[in-house]
Amino acid sequence: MSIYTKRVASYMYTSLTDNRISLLTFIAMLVPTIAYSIIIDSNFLLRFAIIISMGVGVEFIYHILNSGEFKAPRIGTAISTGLLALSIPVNIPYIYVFSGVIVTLLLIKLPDTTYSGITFNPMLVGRLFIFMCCGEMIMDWTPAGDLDGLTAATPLALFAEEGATVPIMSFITGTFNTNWEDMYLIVPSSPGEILPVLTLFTGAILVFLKVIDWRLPIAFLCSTAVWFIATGTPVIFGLLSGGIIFSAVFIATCPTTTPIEPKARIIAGVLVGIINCAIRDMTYYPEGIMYSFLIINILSPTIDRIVFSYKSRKI
Amino acid sequence: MKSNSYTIEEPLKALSQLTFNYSRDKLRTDVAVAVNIEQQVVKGEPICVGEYLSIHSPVCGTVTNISDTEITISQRDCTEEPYNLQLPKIKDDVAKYAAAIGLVGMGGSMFPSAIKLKAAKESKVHTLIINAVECEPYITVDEALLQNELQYIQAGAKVLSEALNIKDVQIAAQKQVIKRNNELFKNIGYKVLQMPTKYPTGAERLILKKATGKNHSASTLPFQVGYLINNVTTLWALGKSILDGSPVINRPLTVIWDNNSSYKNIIVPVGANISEVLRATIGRDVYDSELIIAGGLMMGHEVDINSNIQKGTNALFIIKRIDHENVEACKKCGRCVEACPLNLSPTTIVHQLKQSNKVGKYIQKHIDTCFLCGACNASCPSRINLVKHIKEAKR
Repeated sequence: MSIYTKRVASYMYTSLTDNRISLLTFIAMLVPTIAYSIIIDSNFLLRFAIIISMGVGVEFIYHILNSGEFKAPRIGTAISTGLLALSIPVNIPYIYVFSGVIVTLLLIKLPDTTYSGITFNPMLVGRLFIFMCCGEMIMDWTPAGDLDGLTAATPLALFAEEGATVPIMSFITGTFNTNWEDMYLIVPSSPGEILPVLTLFTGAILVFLKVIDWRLPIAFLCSTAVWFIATGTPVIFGLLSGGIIFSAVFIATCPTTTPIEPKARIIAGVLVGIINCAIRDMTYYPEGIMYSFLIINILSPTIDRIVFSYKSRKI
Repeated sequence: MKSNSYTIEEPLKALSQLTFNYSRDKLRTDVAVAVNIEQQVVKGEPICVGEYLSIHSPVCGTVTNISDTEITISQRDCTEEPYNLQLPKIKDDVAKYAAAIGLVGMGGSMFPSAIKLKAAKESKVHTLIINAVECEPYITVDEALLQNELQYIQAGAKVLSEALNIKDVQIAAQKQVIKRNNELFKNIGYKVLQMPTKYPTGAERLILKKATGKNHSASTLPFQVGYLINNVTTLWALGKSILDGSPVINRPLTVIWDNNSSYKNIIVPVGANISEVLRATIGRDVYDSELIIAGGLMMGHEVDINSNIQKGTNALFIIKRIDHENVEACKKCGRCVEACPLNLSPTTIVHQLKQSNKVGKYIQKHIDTCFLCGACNASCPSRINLVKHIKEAKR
């Protein structure tokens, strides 16, 4: 038990400190990282470490330039840059990744913008920057190493274009490299998205440990499922394809960029699901997840304010 | 701490001196000093008397000092009988009776019971709720009283309900306590209000909500909706005065030490020096590396080792002292909102308070409603002292 003096009340605290939360989140992030390294590309672990080192280096220099002090890098920096590594294709050259890391950290993460109004998810902004720099590359899901066939789109894109699905078992084992119509090699998107079932299980453990809040991800998954039912998309296939599970576990649970109020989180989750599906189904834009979360980042203070006013009237 | 039965000891055999604070700030009512320096007093003799409250000497002693706020009594050997207190009949005037025996809210508030009972009589309350919901972690004195001194509690509840013409008596306790004392609650003869085993379910407002099934505004007091909620220790003290003829001179409390692994429930004289109480209870001195908390880990406060037992002191904790605060910036995780038993938004309140001294009507409503239970503080992973800011705003 930690006790602090000079306090008005409460000499008892949760053992779940910010540092512990960050550490557990980082450990959870290692699950898809290691899984991808084992199943698809053993070099990814090194790439992951390099990208995190970039982040740590940028933060180190930032503190020296900003305050003239040597400060130990935060776990949060490793999480943001690690998530960036997991959410972009492995073929993006390091120079672009580095530019994304700089945007992630210098624009959003390191300046304390927690209460300055709208706060964007740092990783998503970095990813958006990479997307703007090299849009074609971010859409190229070719795996590293030698190929025995051509590459095509992600399972969701294939479903959209051809109505083709992949066996659900693939989402559990991560082995998607089967030939489709003997022509295309299906490679499922970014490293973080390869094992959605495992990622979901990891998320469930984080919820159980109270590291993340369940409301926004569950509301997001539910509203997405409802949309799929309404549009005739196979629900399980739809939920497990693309970045839905990965973003539900690692992006939707970022506290700084999502609403504070529990009910506001449910509203935000429902909206993320609707916006994401609307972008996918009704526009020609890819990257529905990225845009929907950035939109929710903008809307979060407003949703919070509305919910706060509503509940205050009832107190 | 998971034992099914608790004992109550009276470890203090002799005391060097006792000190009583009679300031208005402390008592929340005016009292006049009724003794002089060097005057010899006997057990139970009034030393301060007021319209709503009296203070009595728990020992045979000599008044050695009277300052602007404190009276000190040194204990002496004597064979004299306890003071023969002339008490009014409780049925005739319950408030006067409470004032004469020095009854206060012994759950920790120390609010003069005479004021509360006067208001209750005028409002014609219909239900008395015995608050046995000790929800602060590690404190077991309420349960110990139920197990060992039930006759006093029942006597207190009986005379109070008769005096106020109350038909319905209920007892509120935590689910776990009810489960542990199944037989006791089955045969107690009152309707049992089962509260969740969760802090801060012992708060008067939450018990009222449970009893009425309605949410009441922060300004609503229980007697305004027909309920009188009294702590189990208050009723114990009232019962003592009825059965033993003794005014409120003793205080049951839990002492917890060794990093919350050791505890004792004890009854000690009000005004006793904390260092003497602790030495007699735990058998050692308090180290410099330790801190003494009176009241509880959630809502209590640090006390000096040379301070004294008050009528509201329900627990003493000896915990390890850490002299640094490692406060981080708010991450907006919302755990404080989830922890708040009244569904308030502590982080939003504090953020607004930091932004500007002028707060909107909703923020003000949240500040007024908060009863500073500290659940938000305890749940904050950034170790932000939200309660401190809200308490300052309340002032």
